[in-house]
Amino acid sequence: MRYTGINHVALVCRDMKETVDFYTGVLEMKLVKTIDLPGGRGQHFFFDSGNGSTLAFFWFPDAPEGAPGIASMNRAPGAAMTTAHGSMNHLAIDIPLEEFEAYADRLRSKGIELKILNHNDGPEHASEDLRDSTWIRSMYFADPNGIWLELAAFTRPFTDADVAHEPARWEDRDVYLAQRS
Amino acid sequence: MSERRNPEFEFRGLNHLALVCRDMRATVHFYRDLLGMPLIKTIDLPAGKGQHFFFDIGNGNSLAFFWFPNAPENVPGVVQPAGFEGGPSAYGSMNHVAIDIPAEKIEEYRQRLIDKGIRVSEIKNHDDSPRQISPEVNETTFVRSIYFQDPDGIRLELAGWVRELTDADVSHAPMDSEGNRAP
Repeated sequence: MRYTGINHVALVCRDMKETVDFYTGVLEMKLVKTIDLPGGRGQHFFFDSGNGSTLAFFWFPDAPEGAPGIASMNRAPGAAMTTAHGSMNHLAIDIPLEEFEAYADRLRSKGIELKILNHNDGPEHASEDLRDSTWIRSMYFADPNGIWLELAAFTRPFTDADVAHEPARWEDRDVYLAQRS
Repeated sequence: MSERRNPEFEFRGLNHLALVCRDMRATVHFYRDLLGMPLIKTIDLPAGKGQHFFFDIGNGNSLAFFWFPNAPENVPGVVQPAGFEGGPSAYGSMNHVAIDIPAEKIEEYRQRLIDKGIRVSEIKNHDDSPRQISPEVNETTFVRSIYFQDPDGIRLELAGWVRELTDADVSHAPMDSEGNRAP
């Protein structure tokens, strides 16, 4: 099958006005499609995230409350980064590598609090500074709904050497938990 | 999709969408072996924190599954829609993810998924009619979609745009959390 990337990622917001203000105001994404769902079921608004992909926010009058640590990342200090099976943990938007520092500065100037991490090959899995072993540069921040967003740039193409691990099974979790402490 | 310039940031679509699975081997079987998406990056997270595997979905985008040894159990209706037919999920959750395909391939791809033993919805032609979905393609149809689920119940869609979006596609005031239309 020929897949041509993401068409849309459908996310759920608490307040569409606040969501429109953030995605069009802070991130300057264009609002390209608005829908009032039939039968009072809510709204569905699409924001252009570049390269043919969109972020498509639902607003449901009967949506359950947010569930940090289950349905989205719990951003409380010291909280684990885990979210539930079947959940979205975070969403990374692609940016040009050479713009990384400029975009970080621009978001900070808009009052956005960022966490910057360079993800590396080898034992030093992540670092604040850029290294020769860095394969992706990431800046993380939250949207008004508690969705954990990332702006990310790959530093190199993937090779066969990037695929090197056996996939874990549900039964393997004790082996992993034993490595903690 | 129409080309609209972002004056502020040059966003190039999704880099990756990070999702959480219960069993990485079942996930690899589904996405790589059934859906045919190349597995392009595998990571064992340090200190027993789990795994992170990236599947190429075209156009520079990837689905990046985490496997955590201590992830909470799924809560359908909160984490994702409650059932096969879709529906609400919680504030801040991902409701579904749509992977882009050539619109003219949708019948063929639907049959191929069925042949692989996957339960797939009828083709939904989303349009600007009062019901917003029609059995046939008409001049207001903007996207054609089929829906199915992955091993963790994640609602997947294959979708193909059939026309350019124009300024007329943006015509509704956003709702606030109280259900009032913003000015």
